[in-house]
Amino acid sequence: MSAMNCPMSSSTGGVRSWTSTTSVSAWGKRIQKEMAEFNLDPPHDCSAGPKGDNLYHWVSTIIGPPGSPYQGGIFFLDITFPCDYPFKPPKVLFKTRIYHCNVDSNGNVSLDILKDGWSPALTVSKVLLAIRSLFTNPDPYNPLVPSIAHLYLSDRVKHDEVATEWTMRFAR
Amino acid sequence: MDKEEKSVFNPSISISFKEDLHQTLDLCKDDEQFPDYFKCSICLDLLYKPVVLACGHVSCFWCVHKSMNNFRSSRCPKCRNEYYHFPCICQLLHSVFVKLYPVAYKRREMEVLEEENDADCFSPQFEDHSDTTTVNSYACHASSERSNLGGFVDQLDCDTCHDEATNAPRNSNSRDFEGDSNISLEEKKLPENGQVNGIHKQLSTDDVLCVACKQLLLRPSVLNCGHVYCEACVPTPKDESIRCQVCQSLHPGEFPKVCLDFDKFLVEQFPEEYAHHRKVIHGSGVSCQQKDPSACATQVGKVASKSSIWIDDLTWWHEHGPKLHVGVGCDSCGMYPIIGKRYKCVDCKEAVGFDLCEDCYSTSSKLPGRFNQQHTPEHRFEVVQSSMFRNIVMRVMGGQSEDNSDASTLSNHASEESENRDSTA
Repeated sequence: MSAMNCPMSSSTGGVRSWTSTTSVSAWGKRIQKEMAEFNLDPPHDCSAGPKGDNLYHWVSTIIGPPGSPYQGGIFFLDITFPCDYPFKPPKVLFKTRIYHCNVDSNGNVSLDILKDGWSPALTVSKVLLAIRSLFTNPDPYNPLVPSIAHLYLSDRVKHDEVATEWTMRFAR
Repeated sequence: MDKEEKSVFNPSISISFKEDLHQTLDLCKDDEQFPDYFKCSICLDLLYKPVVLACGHVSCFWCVHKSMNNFRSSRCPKCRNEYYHFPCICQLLHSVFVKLYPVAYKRREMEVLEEENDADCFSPQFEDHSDTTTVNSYACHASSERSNLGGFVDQLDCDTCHDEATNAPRNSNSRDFEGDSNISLEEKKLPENGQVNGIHKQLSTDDVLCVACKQLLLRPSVLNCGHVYCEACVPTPKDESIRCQVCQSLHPGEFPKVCLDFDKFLVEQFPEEYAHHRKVIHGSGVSCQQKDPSACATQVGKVASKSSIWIDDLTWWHEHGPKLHVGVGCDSCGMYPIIGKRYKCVDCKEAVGFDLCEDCYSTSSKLPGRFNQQHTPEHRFEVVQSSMFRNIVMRVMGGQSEDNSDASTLSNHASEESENRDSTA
């Protein structure tokens, strides 16, 4: 599998004591195990799986949770795993447009566990659950799109209306 | 809806990919079932060479090592508890796994060894203390010694060793994995003696004794050196830090928390003995010294106060940055990264090197390296100053703080940061 042979990542550069460790290929198994576990017990209203035969590139969907303005929408996400996964977080990108203060127009998501808050004990399934909870509980205090966050805080009804409209338009 | 969505993706998995997946799953199909609490949260497989962090969470040796932060203190993958020292492998747990899950553990061993060979960097190799396994690779390498279990066993063992030796020529003197010999013994013993399988599967309480009270472990706590005590038996001198009674090495950092996963296992495995021991302890009035149960909570509280993190960060960098050896750990106490003077062995040939922190150098630690380095006390050391890398870090972190007066720049920066945080909070 070619994707599993990507070179050893060396964040500090050069050979340093203690940093030269096992090859990355070993951790490809972790993704396989994650996939097996995901299929056994997928989180509610979420699906995920490799795109084609590249283990490091997954496609996922989340169904907008009931009670939120995103209800009934199907949101597609791209998940890319770095070579040194699970020691670095996966990159998650929304492929479906969404009116949400934590998702910008390019599909980037602001979520602490996908950045500094990452822990190698987290899995795709947990990440998807966290994103799903963003649907019901946006975080307007750490926004990617300040204007949406502002509207969310000042006029919730209006915000929900726009979000529903976008869901109908892009996510059906 | 859910199901339909899934069917969209599954056909897109190509056949070759599926085969790979099945191969991986096939490899695991002969494995013994092991409980979820013995599954490493990082590699999602059976714990291999388990390391117990001060917070009581267990992961594999390489999983912990790879998830440590090169630049500063690390956090437990499970609870984010902060720690500075890479603990030694818990050999007691290691031998428990060897006994309980010989097949799965053997598979893990082979997988890890393959990776280690590729990376030319090895985890510590253990002497075989198990009395059922008198055969070890020394016997066949020396070739003059005969095993008391007959030639066939020897032959079998030699085969294993031979394979291994070709894989790891530079490691030939350390081919005495417990799991290795156990497996070859099992394969042999079954047809030969007609003995029911499970000589080693019978884990007795003798395998899980506290090193201090020599009784079944009650609420096991693991020190940085890897030795396991009952929570109440951890030696706690009044004025100095905890020192292991077995290996005399200091336990740096906080009081070790109970390894709850292991505790759960003991309760399940030896319900009567465990209950009995607990009764004895409580009955005799030696109240189970509940060592500061709030300790974990305070830690979490410290982490949670968000606005202070940046100030903490900056003061930490200001204080330790210039003395920091990025990505270099002490092979004795496990401090990672080393802060302060770094003593580097000039005679160790391994790429991973052998380093000591100042404290361990002055106490002339006798522990072997963390990565199976062939270090001997005769080796010479040189002092290495913190690399120039720190200058870059300082510049990034403190904004050219070298040129200006450090303190003011840093504190300005810190207050700016905290203001930003406050305004957004």
